[in-house]
Amino acid sequence: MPTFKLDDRDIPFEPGDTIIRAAHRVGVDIPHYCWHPGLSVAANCRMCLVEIAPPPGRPALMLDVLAWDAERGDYVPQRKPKLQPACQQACADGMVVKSQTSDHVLRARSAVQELLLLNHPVDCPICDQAGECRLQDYWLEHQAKKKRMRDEPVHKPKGVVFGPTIVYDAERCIVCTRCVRVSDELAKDPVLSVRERGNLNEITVAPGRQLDHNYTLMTEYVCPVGALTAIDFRFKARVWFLRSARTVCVGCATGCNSFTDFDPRSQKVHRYRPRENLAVNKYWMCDVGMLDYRRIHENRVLEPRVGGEPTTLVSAVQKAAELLRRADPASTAVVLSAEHSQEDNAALLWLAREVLHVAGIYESGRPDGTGDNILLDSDRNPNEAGIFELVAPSAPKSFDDFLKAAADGSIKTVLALGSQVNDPSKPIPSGIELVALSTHEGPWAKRAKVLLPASSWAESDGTFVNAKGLRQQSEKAIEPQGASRPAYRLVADVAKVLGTPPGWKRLVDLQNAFSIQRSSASPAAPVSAGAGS
Amino acid sequence: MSQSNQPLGPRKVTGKAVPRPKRGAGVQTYVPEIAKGLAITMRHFFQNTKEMALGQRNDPTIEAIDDGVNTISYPEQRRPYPARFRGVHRLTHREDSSPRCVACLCCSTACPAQCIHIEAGEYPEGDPRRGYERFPKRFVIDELRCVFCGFCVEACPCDAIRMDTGIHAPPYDSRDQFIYERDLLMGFSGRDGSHGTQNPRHEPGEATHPGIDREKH
Amino acid sequence: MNLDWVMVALSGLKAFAVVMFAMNVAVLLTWADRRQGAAIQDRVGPNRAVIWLPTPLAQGLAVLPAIAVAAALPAYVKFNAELRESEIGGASLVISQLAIFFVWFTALAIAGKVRNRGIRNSFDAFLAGFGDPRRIVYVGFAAHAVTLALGAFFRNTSTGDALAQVGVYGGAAVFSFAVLFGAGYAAYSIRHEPRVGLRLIGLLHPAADGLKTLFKEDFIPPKADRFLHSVAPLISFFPALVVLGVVPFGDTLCFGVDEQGGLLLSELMAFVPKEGVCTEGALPLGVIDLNVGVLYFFALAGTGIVGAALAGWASDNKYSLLGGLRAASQMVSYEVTMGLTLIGAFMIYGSLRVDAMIRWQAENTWGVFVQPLGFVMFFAAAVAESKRIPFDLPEGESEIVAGYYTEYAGMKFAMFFFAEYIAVVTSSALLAAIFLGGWHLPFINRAGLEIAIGDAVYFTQQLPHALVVVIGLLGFILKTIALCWVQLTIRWTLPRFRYDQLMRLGWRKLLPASLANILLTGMLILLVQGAGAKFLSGLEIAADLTMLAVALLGIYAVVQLVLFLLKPPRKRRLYAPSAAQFAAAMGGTRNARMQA
Repeated sequence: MPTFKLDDRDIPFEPGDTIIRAAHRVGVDIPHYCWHPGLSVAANCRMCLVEIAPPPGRPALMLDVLAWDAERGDYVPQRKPKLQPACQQACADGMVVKSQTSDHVLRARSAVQELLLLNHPVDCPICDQAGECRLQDYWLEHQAKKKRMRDEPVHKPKGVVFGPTIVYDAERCIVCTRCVRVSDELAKDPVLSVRERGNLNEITVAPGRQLDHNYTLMTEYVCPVGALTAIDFRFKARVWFLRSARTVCVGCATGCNSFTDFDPRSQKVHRYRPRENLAVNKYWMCDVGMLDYRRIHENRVLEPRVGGEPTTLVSAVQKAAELLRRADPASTAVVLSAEHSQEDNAALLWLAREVLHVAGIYESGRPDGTGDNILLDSDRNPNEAGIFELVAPSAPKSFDDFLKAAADGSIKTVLALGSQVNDPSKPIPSGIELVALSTHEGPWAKRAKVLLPASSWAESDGTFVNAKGLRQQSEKAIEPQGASRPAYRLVADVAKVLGTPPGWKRLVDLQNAFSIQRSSASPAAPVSAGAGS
Repeated sequence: MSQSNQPLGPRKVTGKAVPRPKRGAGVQTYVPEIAKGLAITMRHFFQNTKEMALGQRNDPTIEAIDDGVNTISYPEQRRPYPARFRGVHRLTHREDSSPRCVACLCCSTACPAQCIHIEAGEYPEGDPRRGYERFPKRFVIDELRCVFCGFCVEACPCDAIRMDTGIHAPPYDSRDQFIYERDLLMGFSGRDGSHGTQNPRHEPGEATHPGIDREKH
Repeated sequence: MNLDWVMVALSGLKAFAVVMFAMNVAVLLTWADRRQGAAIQDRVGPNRAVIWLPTPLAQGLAVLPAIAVAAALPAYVKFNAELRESEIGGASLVISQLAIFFVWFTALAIAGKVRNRGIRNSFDAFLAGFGDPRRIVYVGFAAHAVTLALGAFFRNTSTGDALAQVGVYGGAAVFSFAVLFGAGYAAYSIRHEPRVGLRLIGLLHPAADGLKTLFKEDFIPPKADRFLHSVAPLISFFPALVVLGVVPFGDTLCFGVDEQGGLLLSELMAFVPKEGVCTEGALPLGVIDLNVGVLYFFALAGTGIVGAALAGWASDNKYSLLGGLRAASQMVSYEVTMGLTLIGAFMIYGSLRVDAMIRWQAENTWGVFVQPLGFVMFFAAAVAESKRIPFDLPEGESEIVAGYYTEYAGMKFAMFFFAEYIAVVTSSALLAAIFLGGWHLPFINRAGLEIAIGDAVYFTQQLPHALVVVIGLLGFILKTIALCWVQLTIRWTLPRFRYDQLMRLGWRKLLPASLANILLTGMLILLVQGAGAKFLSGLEIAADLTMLAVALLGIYAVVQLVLFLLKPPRKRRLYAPSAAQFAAAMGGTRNARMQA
């Protein structure tokens, strides 16, 4: 593989790579604002300038400049090499690139940083980007000097509402055009553009339009400064208080990799951020998925109920076991849920087959929605494929089958996992004895005779199999809310009362027992929230 | 290294032998020594009580005394507090007597006791500051938890929180009385009685904005 | 009136009185502990509780009683015919001395006031002309001496009679004038003040403190055992209180009994023989005279441990638990020593009943002279039992926050606090009863005052029975309070032990020493039993000599106190630390008038 030299380090590259991309791949960061690995090259921020040595035997391209001489108190003529933007310069074998080691580069970065901050309002205290802002980081790394300009900075529009999700502050904007490119290239909806020139330029929405496609939050996500802020996250939390867990989005069957940012003190999830996985979602997530975190706290079932009355978990489990013990296995159905992880479903399946010996295995999940052809899948369940894998070689019967069987009376007792059903318009027949393990209020919770509160995806580790059949591990972010417990634990409790304690105690044992393989990149402890690439 | 001329190896420690204190029978049996100590205590007690009762007592702060203790009788007597005394917090006001605080949470980040809780709010529709600036919907300080280190004051970028009230956290009957809410904090004034600050905040565009005025160029 | 019912009623009254005594002394100790502890550090201490009186009311309070007193003495002199004839010499002496005393005392009080607040009128200037107010005292003492000398010189002469007349009438007039003038001056000098604070030298403060604790937040930790957490203060409070039941506060009071079985109160003023106690109509001045006596004290002191340990356990707090464990182990350890130190005393007294012990001491000599080692060790063990400095490891605020009552607030905390002080009172009362003669005072027996060494009697004065009993009662209370005060002084003086030092002191020093004390006492008792009559009478003389020593010590202490009060103030060398320099630059401490 060909290599080039970056600051005395050999960097391998593939043909066609730019310097910054090759360096990024091996983990060397060249400072940049406008470049993003998932977007086209704009080369307008000039932060990634590097000094490239001339080919052997060729003179360097030098420029005549005037440099300030503090001793003489005057400008003196000097020569400096012509610097190149690393994001645009393609690599060549044996090329020598100086980044940190070149004084010219360091001075240039400092100058670029100062230029970008010239008209910046420096309102970090009220800016939501503070703490993950490139301007803050790079100011400290590359400038660390006071502002020299004493003129009134240019004033531009503030608090411009771009659409239902995004607010724009032109004074903070450095016009890197990342957001424009996200709209163009990812959402294929070129609704954003730049207007005016020089220090008056700003981002605008196309006349008569709003920023309302399905990837608006990606514009905020890629914004390196606080120009674009998400209405959903505005003023909710300071990012340095947040911790991140590596999770998988459960909004649809795509299974985008995400960070779940939560406040460990209040145990509240505040947002998702996309997590880079080139096999699934590359660098992106859709708005539907990004806002799906709200379901962790909204409309939750937080206490066990028997016959609609709140009760303790112990007595509810007792009651559930009693119901199941009395039931005839032939007329009992177990409904798996595509909303829940492999672990929850595997535990339930074990209970159905080994303890209750029921024949009727059904599956259910959230109703389908419309998908786009980018990331959002029309199947809004994260684990449909996983259930089929678990039940294999047979297949679980569908929710329609369940309704039919319940209507003709061949099902008397039901043990159901999940909150939603595939077809909410058809009510669940009232004649059945229903034990539901639900995370949210919904058809199951409404009809349940015994309702056990299950924890959501953010409250326990879990494995999800996406539409492509890829297993992905999701980490626990917050502690179980209210009286809820992970569904596999509730299943174990019920089994214990029924007299057949399960052979597994910890989640790892469960995963091993049902060979729910962990994904190759096994996540470790939560990492703190940081800026995206 | 100044000791480079020393040979290698562990440094030789030379010290002076301290004689062990002589502990005679009186000390060993403990009782006579206790009696002596009690006698000293009683002497001080009688002496001080008498002088206090007969009005022969000096001002202990100004006229510190060689024997006896330099103690003042708070709260009858109070030492004058230095200018930088850190008392109970206050929230400074803007001209329109709204809080100067912008709910940036810098103070609660800096707080080592984690006693500050802030909920940020957005200005209502029609306010010119809506969209980019915010204000504290709730600003709560648990004065029982506070260690009065003053980090919050140092951290504040807007000079919105100050500890120059010159007030102690008073003793209360129950813990919830120590929870100071925003309006109470805004009710305190500085020692000069003002609710403002020495370092007023200038909105962009105003003539006093530091972008124009700071160095008088 | 049925005697039994009266006795039952009186028993209830006694129990009530004892409880009130213990609790009030404990309250005062709580206050004194802080107020006098503050005085050691040269500050006033808590005395901020005040009742503000409107000035007219305060003036009335000053003037009206004065008018009553000023009117009473001349009226007494005027209408008492007996006085004019026979007893005029004595009456003259008393009245003139009283008048002189009131004159100089009033002058002294005003002069002191003037010196503090400055001269305001011509009378102030006149008083200030004397210079040091101490001179007024000297002049007063001289006047006392002169009148006494005159009285003695002209005794039983016609001049004497005339002087006596002057003494009676002139004295009464001067007395009335001095009282009226003092009160009037006080009322006059506060006429411009908007209100007058009633502070009772700070005595209102403990009451205010008690009231405050009632209103404090009653905090129970969320995971604590609510019942045990609430009941623990009670368990440590009440055993400390009821222990006093076995301690007699005074000699048995003898009512006479008439033929119908009713009480003869007149017997109280009669003279009774030196020996023996009446059989009928006897009122022992203790709540209950248990034959197990002191063992009851040990049993209940042991119960107090449970309260501390329970509090530590029920609080759901590691510090509390540590404190509870420390309290339990410390109190169990010192319980052993406490019991063993008293065995020597039991052997000598031959009884467990506290009343019998005091009678032995009244007959022979105080326990502290026959059991000096036992006294010191029991004192140490009793302080350790009350968990106070220097044995306050269960509290140990520098190590375990506040030990077993870390999680207590308000009245429950106050009950622990209070239990501690009541333990001080009870242990002091017990110490006074067992080692300091209880209600017995030197040379006072049931018949009256009798100064005698061995068989030689130097002075005898018969006193009415009730008076003897009351003197004994006051003596006992005085001893108890003095011992309490010594315990407080120990608290103000000594630092805390380390825990291993505490345990070593308890198990390896006090315990063997108390066993040795038992051995020694046994040998001495055998020695005395085998000795001849001469040795025994020598012992008796020695016993009386110890009582003489006690009496002389008491007189010496009073004389010393008076001399101390009259000593001029110390000249103090001044230096100014930076804080003082700063304070001076800022105009001094903001000085509200101190209510010392």
